[in-house]
Amino acid sequence: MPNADQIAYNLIYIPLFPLLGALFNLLFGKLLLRIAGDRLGRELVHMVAIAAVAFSCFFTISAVWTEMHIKGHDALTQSAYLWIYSGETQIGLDLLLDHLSAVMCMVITGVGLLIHIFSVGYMDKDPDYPRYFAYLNLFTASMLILVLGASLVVTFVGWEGVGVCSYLLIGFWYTDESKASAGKKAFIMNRIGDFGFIMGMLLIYVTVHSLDFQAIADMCSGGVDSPFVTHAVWGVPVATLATLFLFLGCTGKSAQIPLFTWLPDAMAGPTPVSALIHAATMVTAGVYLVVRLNFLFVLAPFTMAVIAVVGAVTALFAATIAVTQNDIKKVLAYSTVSQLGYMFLAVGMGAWGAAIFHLVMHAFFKACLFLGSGAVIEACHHNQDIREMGGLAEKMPVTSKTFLVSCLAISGVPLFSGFFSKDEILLHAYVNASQWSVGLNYVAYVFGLLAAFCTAFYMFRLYYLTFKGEFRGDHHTWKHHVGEVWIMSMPLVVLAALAAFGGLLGVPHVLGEMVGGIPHVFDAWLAPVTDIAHRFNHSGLATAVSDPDSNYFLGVREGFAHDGHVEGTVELVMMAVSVTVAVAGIALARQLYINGPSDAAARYAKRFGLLYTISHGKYWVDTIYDNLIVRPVRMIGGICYQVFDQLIIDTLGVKGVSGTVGFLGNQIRRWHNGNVRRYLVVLLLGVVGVLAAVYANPTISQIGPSKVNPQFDLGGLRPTLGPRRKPPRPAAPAAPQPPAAPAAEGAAQ
Amino acid sequence: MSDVLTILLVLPIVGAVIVSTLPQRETNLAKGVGLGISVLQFLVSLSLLSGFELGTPGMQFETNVPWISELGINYHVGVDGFSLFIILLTTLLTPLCILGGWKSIDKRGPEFTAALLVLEVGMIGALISLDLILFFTFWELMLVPMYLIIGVWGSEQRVAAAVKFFIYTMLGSALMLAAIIYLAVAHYNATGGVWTFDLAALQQVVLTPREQTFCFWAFIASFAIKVPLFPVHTWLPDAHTQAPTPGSVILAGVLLKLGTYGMLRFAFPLFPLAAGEGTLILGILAVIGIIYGALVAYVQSDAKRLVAFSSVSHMGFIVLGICSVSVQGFTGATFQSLGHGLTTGALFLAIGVLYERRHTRQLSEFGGLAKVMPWFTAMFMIAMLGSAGLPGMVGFVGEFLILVGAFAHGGLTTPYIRELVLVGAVGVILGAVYLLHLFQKLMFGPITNPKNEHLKDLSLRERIVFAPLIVLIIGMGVYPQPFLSRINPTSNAAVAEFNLKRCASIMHAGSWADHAVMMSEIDGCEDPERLIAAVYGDERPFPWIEVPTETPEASPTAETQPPAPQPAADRPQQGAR
Repeated sequence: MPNADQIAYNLIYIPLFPLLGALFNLLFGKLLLRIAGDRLGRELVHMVAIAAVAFSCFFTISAVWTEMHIKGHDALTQSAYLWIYSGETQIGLDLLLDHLSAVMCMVITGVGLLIHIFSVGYMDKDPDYPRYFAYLNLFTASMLILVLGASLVVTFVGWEGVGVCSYLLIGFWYTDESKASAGKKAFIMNRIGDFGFIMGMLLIYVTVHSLDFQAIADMCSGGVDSPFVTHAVWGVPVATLATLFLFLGCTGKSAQIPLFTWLPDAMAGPTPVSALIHAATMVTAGVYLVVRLNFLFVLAPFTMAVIAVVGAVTALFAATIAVTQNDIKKVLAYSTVSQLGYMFLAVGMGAWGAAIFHLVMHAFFKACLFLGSGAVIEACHHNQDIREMGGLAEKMPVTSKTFLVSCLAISGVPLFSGFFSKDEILLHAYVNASQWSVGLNYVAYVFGLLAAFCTAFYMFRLYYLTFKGEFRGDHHTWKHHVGEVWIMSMPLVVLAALAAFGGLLGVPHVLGEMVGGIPHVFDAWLAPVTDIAHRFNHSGLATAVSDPDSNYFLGVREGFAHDGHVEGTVELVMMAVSVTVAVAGIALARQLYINGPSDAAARYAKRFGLLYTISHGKYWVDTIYDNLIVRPVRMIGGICYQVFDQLIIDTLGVKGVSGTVGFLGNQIRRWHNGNVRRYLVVLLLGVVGVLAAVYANPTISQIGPSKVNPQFDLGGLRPTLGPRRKPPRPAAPAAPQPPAAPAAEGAAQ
Repeated sequence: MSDVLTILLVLPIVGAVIVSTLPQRETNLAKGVGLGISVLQFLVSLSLLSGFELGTPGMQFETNVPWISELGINYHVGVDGFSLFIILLTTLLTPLCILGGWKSIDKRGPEFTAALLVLEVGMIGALISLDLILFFTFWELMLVPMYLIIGVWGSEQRVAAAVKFFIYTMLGSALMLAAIIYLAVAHYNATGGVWTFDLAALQQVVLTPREQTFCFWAFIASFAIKVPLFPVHTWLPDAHTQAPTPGSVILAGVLLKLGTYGMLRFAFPLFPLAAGEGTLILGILAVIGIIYGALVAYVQSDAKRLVAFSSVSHMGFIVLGICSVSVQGFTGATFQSLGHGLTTGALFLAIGVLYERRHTRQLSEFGGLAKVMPWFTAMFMIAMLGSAGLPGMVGFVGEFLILVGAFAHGGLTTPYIRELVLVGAVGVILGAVYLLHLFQKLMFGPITNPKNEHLKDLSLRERIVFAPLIVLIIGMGVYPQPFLSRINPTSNAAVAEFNLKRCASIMHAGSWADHAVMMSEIDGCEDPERLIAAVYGDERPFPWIEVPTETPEASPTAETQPPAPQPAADRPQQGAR
């Protein structure tokens, strides 16, 4: 980061231990189970896995401790070795722990550790126990590499690594074809995002000739005068194009419109995996990436607007689907999509701190919810339908209480964590009126509010249907109910505590003042990363701020980002509005579902039949994609193969005419007389023809048309491209050089 | 030390002679002898690695003795960064092939082993030849054993596939031979009566644009068929599908690489003006190949055919890298050649494992193998992820360098290369689509076919075959430095040399001369890139951004750089003129 001193620190240990744990369990796990016996073997397997994450957690804490206590240093770095290099490209395996990655690492190792522990109980009977823990460790390592990477390429290593682990864990029970397919779908959708990531990297690379975050930040420091803004590729400023591509990557990883459909399917994986990967960590990687590159994103107001819109729309869209789902995990999955939408809404508004704050709080309460649902599913003998649950609070007191706390948190009930983090986002949305997109923020704000209402409603619908009322499943399940075990309850309690009190890290300014100056700890901590203003040298920022027509620095221009607060009354009113909305949602859910699905609920479903069907059918996005993309791709592949390959083969007659080309077969059969010399002649004629065409075709001579640049003085030389070509225009006498050329000129002399 | 290359050529021939004297029924003995010889060969080839001087762009281990001195044909061999690792890949894959095909090759073992060893000679010979006639000899030599391997030990339609392979390849070769002779005659005329087929000498000949165009496309015809580039790829799926496992592995692992190697070594440096004008067409064909190969691979029902089409896709990336004429592109293309050789080799071996057990390659026959063959599944998955270009595995390094090189630096040589990269990068998505499709069909789901219920997991022999490939797939992805540090200097020099000669060709064309001249007769190429940019335009996005070029290992190269090996001698003369 600019102006920040960096000190070397052994960061490699943080991802190394989970990696070693994964290797150990992959290679020796099965052997252990065989040698040491099933029970002891399992003990050893999970001890290794948990110890690996615990070590990693320990190293993270010690690194963060160091960072906190060394004055004047903002980031710890480590360069492992030069990884890929050629020409001027030099990609090192460099790690960086600044305040942002510190937060992420704490969440990954902390929540990761709890989920590893929970898994011991959840995966108890699974025959592939070592493989499970190996993948989980591998995931943790990849995720840590993702957030610790000091350059986009290293981040990409983690980015892809978590994608693979997600693929492996979603399809963990691979004998079920649909689960394996869900994994494949997740991976491919992520790959579509990766295409964007790669293109984004290339565009940044051509501008900076490096992919280090530090170098990119330096290149951005010119603000609107930096090459990112002044230069264009394909007619679009590089900053805008690159960030749009990167955001495509984010939509894949973080399940935003249009690439969100994999996340609900990903629920096929074991539930702790859903908690860790598909709620707390991996899916937030997109948010992390945008915040990490915030200095670049602010240079692209168009992208920022796109992100804000996509985030707001996704938040509402997914929330409306979650309202009618009956699978406990599906509700939570759509809820995750929706909450990620909030985070993108925040980053789109330039509220980096709020996005990360919500990310962390979401990690706590969503992990708790998922783990709670895991406990419920286990208890209900792997039935996930909430219509067949109810009254479980009686059997599972700890789970139901922690679940309730998390529901309150996600709904935004005051003093719980979601209240602080979600309100902060909505507040930013309301306040950040950008000139570029008049009123866009208000639309986003309204979408956010509606989503908040839906959130409160579907979460409490879920809670009441699961834990309250009478049990609606079969008698057998109720009787042979699996009880709670401490190893599964303990993580729940810890997470619920965090979900309840974590929000105190980010007490809003106005409330903090009231009770005597409690600071917004979170914002203060992230300031070195998120405080944009100091990144840009004065001229750049000054230009942007003083010019009212400038599109740049969306979200930075507001008084907000400069001194960190808005007027107290506005803040209080906003708070009141969102609390009202949340309470209304809860009240409605209570009205309809406190004693199981009521008649009223059915009536509403009927009255709003169309809306209900649309929501219940998830807007048929999957079907649309299937018919619009998946099938056509397969069809094109088939056509290419059958028409081109097969037809050519048959035309040449080397392979027998088969039925696949029956429609042309008879025509071609006459050629197919088995005379090899004849084939050779035909082939030769063809190649000669192609060569002749290649040569005769004027375009080949005109490739790179002799557009002699008049600014180059070639010293009377008349280069031309052979007799067939038009002689170029005579070189003009030295014309005035454009500002950029002197470098080349200097090199020439 | 300089005899190592000769030993590498002689050793397999000796082996081939020994095994071909064995009686026909001694299949296992023959394979054993072949294995011994090829392992020995591999160990000998390792001395290339240890003796290879870092930071030297030029040829090493050179041997140059007259062969047919009347025509100036020499036995001139040498190794540089482009060929070094492909040679090692060849010597590594050959023993693995013999071992991997131990069971599946159960008839005419001596002949098979002999054919494989002769094939190895052909491939290594083609990779080390620095004389065009010598190169052509080895190039043709490869053809015969491969033809036999497909035609004799292949599957049901082996003969048709072998004939097709032969016809395609022969046709390209014929055109190339014509171009070689044309070039030598041009040299004869330009120097006033010196016959030579030496690459370094012919490199000094600057043909007229028209001549360059013909010769370039004649060379490309031969190499493009070998690669195979999009419209001439149809021999590949048949050859792969019908070939026995060792044949497929060698074919995908090394033979295809000779096409791209030929472009790097011969077609591009010899005819840079035509190359510069042809890269757009080559690039378009490469990108079509990337997309087309992937789409077609996706709809295959035969596992081997699927992997074969994936080769078309992957090789497209390599050609795109070469078309960029950039340091990263050349290094990436060479590295990707290795990566593709390892991953696709491993995939073909894996499919061979299945074929050995079930005698079918139809995807519909399999499913749920992960349950019964966990080790096999793990190996397959690593090869698959490596092939898909997962960072941390071999495929990513090459792919990344190719994309960076093409996007950032390709604009000087290839117009529209950024658009080509954009389309080509879609191949990243499609690659995942067909590979995961393949993996799922084979490994996941319930075991539907009762015949698969008791399949044996990898035997010790098979594990030994896979182990080195897997280690390299991961190792080269995590720590590619030993490879890159040896390839980079050569790429640096090759790019500089290409631009220098391209510039000279432009000067030559500008003089309206109608005959070839020597490089030394042309001057005014002090800043080749600037002249090229002036004539052809420069589409590199930001050529004005000053870039520090020194890399740790390349810094010694940078000093000796612009006049790479041979031009070095000519520079002073240019000044004199």
